[in-house]
Amino acid sequence: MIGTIIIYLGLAFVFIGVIGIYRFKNFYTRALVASKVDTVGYITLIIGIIVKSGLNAFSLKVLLILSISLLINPLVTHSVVRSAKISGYKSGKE
Amino acid sequence: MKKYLYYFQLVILLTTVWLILFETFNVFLIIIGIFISLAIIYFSEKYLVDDRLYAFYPFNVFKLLRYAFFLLIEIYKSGLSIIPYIITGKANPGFVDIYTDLEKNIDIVVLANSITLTPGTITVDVQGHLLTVLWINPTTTQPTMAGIRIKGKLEKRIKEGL
Amino acid sequence: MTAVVTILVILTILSALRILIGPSLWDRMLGLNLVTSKLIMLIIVIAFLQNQTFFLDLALVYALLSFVGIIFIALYIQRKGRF
Repeated sequence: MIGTIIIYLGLAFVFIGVIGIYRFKNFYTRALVASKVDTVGYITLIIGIIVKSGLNAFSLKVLLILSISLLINPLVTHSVVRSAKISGYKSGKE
Repeated sequence: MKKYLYYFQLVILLTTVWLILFETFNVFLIIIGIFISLAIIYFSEKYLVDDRLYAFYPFNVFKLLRYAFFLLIEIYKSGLSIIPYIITGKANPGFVDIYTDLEKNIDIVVLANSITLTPGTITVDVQGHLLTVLWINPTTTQPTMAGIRIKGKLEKRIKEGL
Repeated sequence: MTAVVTILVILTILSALRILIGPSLWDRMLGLNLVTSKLIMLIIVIAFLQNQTFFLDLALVYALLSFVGIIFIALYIQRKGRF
């Protein structure tokens, strides 16, 4: 029961992140808002799955995926924004 | 002596990942896992880093776990503080330069990744001790004041040891 | 739990729309990153529903491959086609 509530909380965070990529006109703001709130939702949903499943091989493997993707996610965002800045992408002043 | 303790915890860590990927626990599998992790450490020292692994990535598992728990709380705090920007829809981000006084390369890498992982800030570029950060609501553009706001607690926690 | 799968599929389609209408190239890469993370969540939820662990290997390999892919697309555009 607690696990289901945590899973729906994570879905709410992901939904706010999806709203965030349609709400702003500026690329840098979209990059800041969208992928980061999405990370919070990702962590919450996976913790919900672990709570619902209990401690066994399944939840240990899910924990491994969570730790690997926490290492990967900031690198991808950094790489995309750095590529946009070095290529000289000017954001409109709005 | 400290070096042997470091290799011991590295072997334990690699064997745990090996056992998680197999999903079964027995003695035969543990022995194979220990031999394969020793082989991995030997070959990556010989061909990948050309030096002792201890000189490049010195870490302690318990301190790393404590830092990860601290980082999780920090992610949730700043994630909740960014939701009002999405609801009102008003933000004007800008680039800010900050300085860090950490010495080792691995510490600077961990600091830059932690800044990117907490919502609201993204590290764009690192040159030596100068970090260029994209911030959602820059109140100051002065390097020292902005540095305290962005990296204050993280840098203090990294200085205590990783 | 079936409602979770439905909501996740709808959110994935909404994120994929950003790839289609994105005005610049980097918007499309951002949308690709979002679609990837939502697909990993979807695989994990389906693996929990069917109670089979080999789907998790699929999620692991998908996360690593998409990481390599997005990093190299970003580097390719940053150096303007010269490697």
